[in-house]
Amino acid sequence: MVQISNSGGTPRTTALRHPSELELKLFPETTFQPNHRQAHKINSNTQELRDCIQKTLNEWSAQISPELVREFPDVLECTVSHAIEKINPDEREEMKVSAKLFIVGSNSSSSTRNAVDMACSVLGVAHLDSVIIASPPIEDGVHLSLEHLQPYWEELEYLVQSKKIVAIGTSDLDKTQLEQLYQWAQVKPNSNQVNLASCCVMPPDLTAFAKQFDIQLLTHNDPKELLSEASFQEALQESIPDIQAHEWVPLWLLRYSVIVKSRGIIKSKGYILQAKRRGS
Amino acid sequence: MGLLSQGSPLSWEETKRHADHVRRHGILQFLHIYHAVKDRHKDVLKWGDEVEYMLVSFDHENKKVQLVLSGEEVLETLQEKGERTNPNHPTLWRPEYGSYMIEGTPGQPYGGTMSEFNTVEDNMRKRRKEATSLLEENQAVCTITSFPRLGCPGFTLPEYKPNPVEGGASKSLFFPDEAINKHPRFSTLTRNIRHRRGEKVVINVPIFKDKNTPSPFIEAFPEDDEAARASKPDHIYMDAMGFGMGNCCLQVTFQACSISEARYLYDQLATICPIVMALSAASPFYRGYVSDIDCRWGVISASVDDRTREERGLEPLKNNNYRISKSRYDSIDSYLSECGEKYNDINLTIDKEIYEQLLQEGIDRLLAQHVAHLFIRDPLTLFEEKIHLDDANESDHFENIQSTNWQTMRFKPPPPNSDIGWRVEFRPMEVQLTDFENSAYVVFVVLLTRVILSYKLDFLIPLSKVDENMKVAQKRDAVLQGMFYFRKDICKGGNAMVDGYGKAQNSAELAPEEYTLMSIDTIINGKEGVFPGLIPILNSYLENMEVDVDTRCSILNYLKLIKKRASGELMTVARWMREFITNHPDYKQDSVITDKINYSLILKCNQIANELCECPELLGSSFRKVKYSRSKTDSSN
Repeated sequence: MVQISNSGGTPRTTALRHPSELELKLFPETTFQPNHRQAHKINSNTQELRDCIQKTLNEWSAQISPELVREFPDVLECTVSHAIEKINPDEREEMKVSAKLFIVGSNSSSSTRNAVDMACSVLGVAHLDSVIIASPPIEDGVHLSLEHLQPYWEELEYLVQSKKIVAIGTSDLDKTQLEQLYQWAQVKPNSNQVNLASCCVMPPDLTAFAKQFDIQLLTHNDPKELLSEASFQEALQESIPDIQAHEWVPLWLLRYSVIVKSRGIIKSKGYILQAKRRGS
Repeated sequence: MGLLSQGSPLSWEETKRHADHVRRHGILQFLHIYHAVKDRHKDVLKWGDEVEYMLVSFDHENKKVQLVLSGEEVLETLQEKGERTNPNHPTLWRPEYGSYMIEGTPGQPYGGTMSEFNTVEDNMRKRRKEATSLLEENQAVCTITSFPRLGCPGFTLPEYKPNPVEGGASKSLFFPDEAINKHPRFSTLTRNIRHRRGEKVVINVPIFKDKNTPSPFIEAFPEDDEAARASKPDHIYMDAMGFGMGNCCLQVTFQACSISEARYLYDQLATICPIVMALSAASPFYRGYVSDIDCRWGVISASVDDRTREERGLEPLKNNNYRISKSRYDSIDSYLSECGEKYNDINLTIDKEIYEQLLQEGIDRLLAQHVAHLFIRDPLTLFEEKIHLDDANESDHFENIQSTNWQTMRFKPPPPNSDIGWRVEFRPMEVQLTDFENSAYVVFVVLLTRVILSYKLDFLIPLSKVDENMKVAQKRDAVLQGMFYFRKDICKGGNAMVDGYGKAQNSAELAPEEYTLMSIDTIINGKEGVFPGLIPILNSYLENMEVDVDTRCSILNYLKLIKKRASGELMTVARWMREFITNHPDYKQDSVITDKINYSLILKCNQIANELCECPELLGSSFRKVKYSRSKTDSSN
């Protein structure tokens, strides 16, 4: 099923010739994707994401009429509906809904709000229990500082205050960065993710700081760049040859997971991605 | 090991007279439970491990190590100081078969959050410390699966001579009755198994033929006709329940959210049993000899084989009802979930009357045949005071039969009137030398259950192939040499099996290419183009869970151990023990483990367990430093 909607969510009756946004909701279902091909070389998360993008685009493009792609509304929402699993409200309490947001392009901070709103609507929930923001991309050689994080963090704080998110956290901050954020922030980070590779060799200053201010240190195994512009375009081109993939830049990517809290079971997991047409 | 009732135990002849009564009421008790709790759902994950320990005493002067027959006293003190003083005490202790054994479990079950995986090892350390603190000088608690000189002259402290005459429990040439736990259940079990069988149990383990081992290897038992007849050339002969039940093992039990999840996990894990058993191999020595097997399973199986000659198919059926193909202690004989049905290719002996009765009570065929299969067995112990029970509120008769069916997996209905849910027990593992290893195996299995449920994995293959795997798994060095039947595509058929038992797959015949022979390395670590590997799948699961760094570090080290044991980079305990013996200056390449060799080995095991020496070939080199620094910071608890 294809839904065409503008950003307000009301169905459009007329399609515009030049779309400016593309939303992808990617659902890997909760099956383990055996990636024999790549075994050890590519990070499994990167591979999983690429497989998801391609699978979703392929399924979606096979369902729609070719005209639609050529006519292009301003927002394309690619959804493979059978894969969507909204959370049953009766079971909401038993679930922990978490998300990690990856900012891909250099863009406005409203991405954060869009991403969280979209995750809530996809999952049919009023709030997310936790959102972690991956460090935004910065130019090579530049050290991540508080200023880079601030615009996104302010958005997250707003979302906490408006009860869209319960707890917010960071990823890959060292002790200094975490301390700076902590001191400045109104809503304090509740967790900071560190790379799996360092979980047995934690810097003592970070551990001590986190303990003192009750910040949970969690682990992740995401590569530095989970989704590059080029790999996104490649996947897009392959699935929808007519789309002129090089014009499209991914803005953000959100990975969510729904965990059955008391049973340690992953109920569902997926990605949502938003891309924009360059120059629009 | 099962239900402990106090009272006056009945002889086999008396017990036999009540067998139908016990079965009849056992089924009624099961039905009460089933009807009361069949719809229980949304139970949370709770789980716990069970570690069995041996009490040993070192005689440093004479270079000798013995098993200390003080389990009952040690247990009494542990319980007195522990659970009876404080209901929240972190450890629980239970008796085990040997008078030199005790069993320890965490005081409260672990829950469903990831950080609990990080408390397992600390709790095991506490147990070891607690038990050790009660021992005399030169004594230790050891987690070894089989004591190498079990059944050798003077293997116990105090020493006892076996008394192979009728009137005792074992009638063994080697294993004195004093080495059996003093609780009447254990000696009654021993005696009644022997009486029911009509002769002593027979255990023949192939001997490892070393350079100077006599060939053929024959032990003469001129004084004992029974032994002379039963012992086989080139085998180590044993004749008592204690040779099996006197071994230690490592078990995990978990609570499922519903009966259907329990049945699903029961089936899925049954296929994993031989794999994890081979990975945990730790028992290469029996009665002072080096054997050609690495795992205890077959030994225990034979040690409690109560089947008569008729039941074993050696004589035409006259006094018995069935031919029975396996011991009470063996691998499971039927899958329980609907998706397992088409893989049930083992001829199942059942009590037809019970089966019909269960069907009439609305129980489905798969569960009915499972129970009707367990109930082909006779009760082995019965206490005079416990014959007439309230079937609606007690379950002793059901448990009597259930708990003397010692299979690779156990499907456990909730006890009557309790808040416990449906549980499944995973029973094939051998106990490891250290708390680190034991934690690693336990955490691996529990994580695997979470992964199976999250990704809806399907490991099922025909059950007869699982049985073949069980045989392979016990062989020497099976972890590296063995090839095991395993399902190729584990991500397929698993859809929605958990709720409502799933749909029976309609295809009548199973495509032979659904499973193939794999090495343990392939199954655990994966192989490009062949199989994704259980550890990579576990890692994928872990990446989606919120795991704190401490816990993740522990899990990382646990999975590293499993991974390296599977690939051969690290040795199994069995392999390591073999090498230790081979390199011992006293060893004469004749497959004989002398008192002195045994002393050196157990002393070394104890040093490793207490972190007094390193053993990188067994445990890896990197973990200890990390663990050490962590345990230092954790020394407050």
